[in-house]
Amino acid sequence: MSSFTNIIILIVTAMVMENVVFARAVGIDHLLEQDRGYKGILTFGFWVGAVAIFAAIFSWVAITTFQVVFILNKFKAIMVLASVSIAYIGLTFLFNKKDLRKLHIEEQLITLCCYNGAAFLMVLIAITTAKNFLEVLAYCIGGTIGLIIAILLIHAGRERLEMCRVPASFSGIPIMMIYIGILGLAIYGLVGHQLPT
Amino acid sequence: MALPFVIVPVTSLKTALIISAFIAIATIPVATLSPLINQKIPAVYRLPIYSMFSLICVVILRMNLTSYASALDVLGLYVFLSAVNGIMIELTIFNNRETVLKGFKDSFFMCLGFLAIACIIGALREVLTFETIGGIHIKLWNFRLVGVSLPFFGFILIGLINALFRNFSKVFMRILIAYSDKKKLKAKENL
Repeated sequence: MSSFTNIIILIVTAMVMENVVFARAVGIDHLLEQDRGYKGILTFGFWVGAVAIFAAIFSWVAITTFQVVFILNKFKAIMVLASVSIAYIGLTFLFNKKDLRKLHIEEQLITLCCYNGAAFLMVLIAITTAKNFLEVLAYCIGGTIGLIIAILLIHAGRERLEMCRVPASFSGIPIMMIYIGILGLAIYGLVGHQLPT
Repeated sequence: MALPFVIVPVTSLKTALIISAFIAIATIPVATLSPLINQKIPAVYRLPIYSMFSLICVVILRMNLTSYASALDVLGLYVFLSAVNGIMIELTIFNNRETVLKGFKDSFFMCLGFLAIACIIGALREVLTFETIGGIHIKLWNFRLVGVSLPFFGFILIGLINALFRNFSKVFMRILIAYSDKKKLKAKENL
């Protein structure tokens, strides 16, 4: 029971407190340029999650098998990036097959899913902090859900801001950054964090 | 293109300089060499090879910066994340340059721009949080804004600076246009 509670706590922590977008700003440069609809966002989030989970499994197996080599975090980082790269190569070959082209998934999406930093960072944090494989998986799942929620919130904010009268200097990226900052602050307040003193 | 590195880990001038060094080491060698080897590598293997090369460069630099342990602790996993930064991906994959010189020039100036912005934000945050710049104590006012070092303030600060630069560039353009109009008028009068 306690391990189940731990996993739920880990998922919520990865989702809210350690949100890859609001708390770590990872992938924010790509997210600001994206203008996908809600379906596109869900597809993007799904593939980031798939890449992260694959990379987590692959990295965990490699790191636990060759424990002596991967004592230091820097070597773990190399292993995680190698896993993400394998996922990228696999996905590219998969989407180049004729029958999967019907899904209209462009090459740039695969590149962004794998190399926008979110999948890499999620797996790296999970691998360096988690104690067992289940915790690694829980962190990746929580992180992915958090990422999807964050992108949806950014998209919804952009839609509303486009309808508002914003001063010319602030229109576009500046107002979005301020919006994300205030949203991040609100989530930070909800979590109940204390400012460092 | 490398926004996350400015928003979260840059909380002082020292961290700004160190993360800029990591971004430079992850970007400049790859962007310079990529025009030479781009045609020899199949497209699907380019990004994995480039990112791995960048990460190895980053790891080597990290091993040589042991004297900056406290700053490296603040940067945390962002050091490794710098290997897949947006500047590197843009210059090698999305808009890869045709010649070595172009690759080097563009990557160098992009990294220089990153350094400038990182230093401005790092210095501002350091002054507001610790009342120091580069470790030198300065007292401008009688309060400390501790929350400035948190990520959400990074977002807000970047947004404000972006708007400020836009405004400056607009004013600058207006001055340039007015100056060129004056020159044209003078030339007409002389005729």
